[in-house]
Amino acid sequence: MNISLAAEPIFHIGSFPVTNTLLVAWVIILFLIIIALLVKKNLKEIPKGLQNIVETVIEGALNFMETITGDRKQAKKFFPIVFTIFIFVILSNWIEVVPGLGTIGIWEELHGKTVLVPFIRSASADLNVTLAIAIISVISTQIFGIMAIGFGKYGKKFLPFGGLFKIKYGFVPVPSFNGIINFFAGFLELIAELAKFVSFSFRLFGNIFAGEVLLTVVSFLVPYVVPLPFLFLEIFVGFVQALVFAMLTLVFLKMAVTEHEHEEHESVHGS
Amino acid sequence: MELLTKLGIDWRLLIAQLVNFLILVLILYKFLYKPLLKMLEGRKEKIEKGLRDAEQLGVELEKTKELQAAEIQKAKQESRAIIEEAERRAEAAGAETKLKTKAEVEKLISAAKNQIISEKEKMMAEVKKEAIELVLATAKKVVGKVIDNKVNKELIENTIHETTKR
Repeated sequence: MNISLAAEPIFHIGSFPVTNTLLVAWVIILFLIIIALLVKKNLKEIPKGLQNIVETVIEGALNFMETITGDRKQAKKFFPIVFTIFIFVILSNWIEVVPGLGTIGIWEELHGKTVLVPFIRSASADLNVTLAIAIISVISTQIFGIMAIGFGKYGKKFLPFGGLFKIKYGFVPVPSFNGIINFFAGFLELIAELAKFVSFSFRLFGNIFAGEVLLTVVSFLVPYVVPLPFLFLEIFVGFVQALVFAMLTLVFLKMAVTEHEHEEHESVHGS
Repeated sequence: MELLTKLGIDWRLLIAQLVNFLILVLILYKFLYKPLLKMLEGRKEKIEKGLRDAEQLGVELEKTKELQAAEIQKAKQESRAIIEEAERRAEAAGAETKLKTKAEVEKLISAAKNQIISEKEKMMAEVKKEAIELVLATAKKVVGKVIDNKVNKELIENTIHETTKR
């Protein structure tokens, strides 16, 4: 049994390592694109078969998002990024319950040892994937925020220089206590924004990697029946993690496009 | 940097995954979300319109039904009035005809009576005349050419008069 934090490369193209998670990600992406093309090709006013399922899922997700944003137009604007995150993450999470996980693979020389490199490894059990999605989530949050309320106003959330000094007696700038507090609060916001990269990626990675290790170990110890509840547990965890990732992204998006009236109001009140 | 490598982070893989995911978002947006959501919206509108139309139709149907009922009611009343009128007229006409017929019949009867009376009188007169002549002739034959014709006639007439009176 070999447990590695990093995804294992199966083969190399030049010096580029093609890892098992990259393969799985490609498969998932291909699968989703095929579904999209199938639905697009047979898109009809009266839904049938596959279109019914896809419609139900998408409409359900959109309605659910609407309850969070409280605005259908906003929900629609955020839908592509949030729903793609959800569907991609949930599929890559559920890959781990596919039979043959961690057992079907090729033997390779790694760090001087011969180990089994499995073909299937949940894409979410690779920090590269989770970090990539986290980066997209955080950056799209910034982009949507700037687009919605303007660069200046959005930047003021993190660097509120405005209230730092107050003009007293007509011309003398005096440091303002409220302004300094606000400045530090903004600085903390900036750090929180950066921390999102870590929290997003490590939360998902930790959960799914742990699940994968758990399944591997349980299957190794007792191959029959006993892993079943763990499989169900992992299906549930996979769903919850995908939901958490997507919903957090949605909430951050919603927060980014909402102006900080509260703080401005307070600073006016304080002065 | 070493920590990142230990965690398995490789910038080449990271960029590959980033690109992968962005492509996925773009393709899904272009081929799935956009057309599907557009169609869903279109269908929603259509259904709403259909429901609205159906409701309106229902209201209109109700109205038409009411109108129809009112019309039928009106027609019934009118027909009843017409029938009553016709009956009344027929009755009146019948009575008039009866009266007319009766009057005519009476007239006819009276005319016939009159005629009969006059005929009778005429006949009587003729019978009288003939009887007189007959008697005269008989008397003449019996008596011969007696007395004056005039006296004779008077006599006979008187006699007849007396007999008829009795």
